[in-house]
Amino acid sequence: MIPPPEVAHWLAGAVALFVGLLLLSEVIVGDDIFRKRVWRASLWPSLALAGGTLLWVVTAFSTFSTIHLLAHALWAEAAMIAGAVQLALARGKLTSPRWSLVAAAALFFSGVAFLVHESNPWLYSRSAFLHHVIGWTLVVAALFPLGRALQPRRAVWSAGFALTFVVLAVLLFADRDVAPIFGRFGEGGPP
Amino acid sequence: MLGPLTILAGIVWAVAQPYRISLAHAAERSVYHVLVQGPLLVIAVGVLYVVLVAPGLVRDLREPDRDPAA
Repeated sequence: MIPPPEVAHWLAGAVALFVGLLLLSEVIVGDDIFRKRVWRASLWPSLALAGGTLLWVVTAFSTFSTIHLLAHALWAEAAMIAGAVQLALARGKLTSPRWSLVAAAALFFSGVAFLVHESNPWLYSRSAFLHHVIGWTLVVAALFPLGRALQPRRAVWSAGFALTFVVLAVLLFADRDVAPIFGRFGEGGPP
Repeated sequence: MLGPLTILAGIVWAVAQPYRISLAHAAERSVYHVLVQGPLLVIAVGVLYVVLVAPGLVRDLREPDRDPAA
């Protein structure tokens, strides 16, 4: 039984929110305390890696549209590559802060994929509106890991990166398959 | 505080949009629309964070010299 797209997006929102909370707590307590336990430091990269794998499953069901298939494949690949690099950083296999450039590229190209695969204008529907907002959010948010690669000691880049996932979660939770851009879906909600 | 704040956000959302929580009409809706709703997911994420992540972080903050393997 394949879940409706909006349900898949809400589940992705839940994962994004959890990743955002993990990244925010890393900013609050500091890298040294957060990375004291390897499992904790590996948690969000592992989630990204697993999420990327699940996105391949979604890709397999996105055969109704070539552009959707390509976009989901790009998100899957971006999540897996970024997750794998962060996992290697968490386990000490990689050490250079420049590896944050991979996360920057993943966010940037994921945002571009959102913008390119939405063929409708901003105000066409809730879904179209959110695609545009998420796309531009990710493109702009790519500056945070880019900044972290260049200035790894400035907390503002890490905080911005963490909050990006919280904002992404809010936007994904706002998704409905059929809905006006703002306001309530309708009396009693969808069937 | 992150976990409790997240749980609170989910509860506030459920109160603001009660039609999202559709347990009363479960028979008329798909299992996805009964169990997988935004407010419930937000509360679940908050609970997961409180149970899984927060206790270890607080312990490590209070005892920074403690050996993680101990």
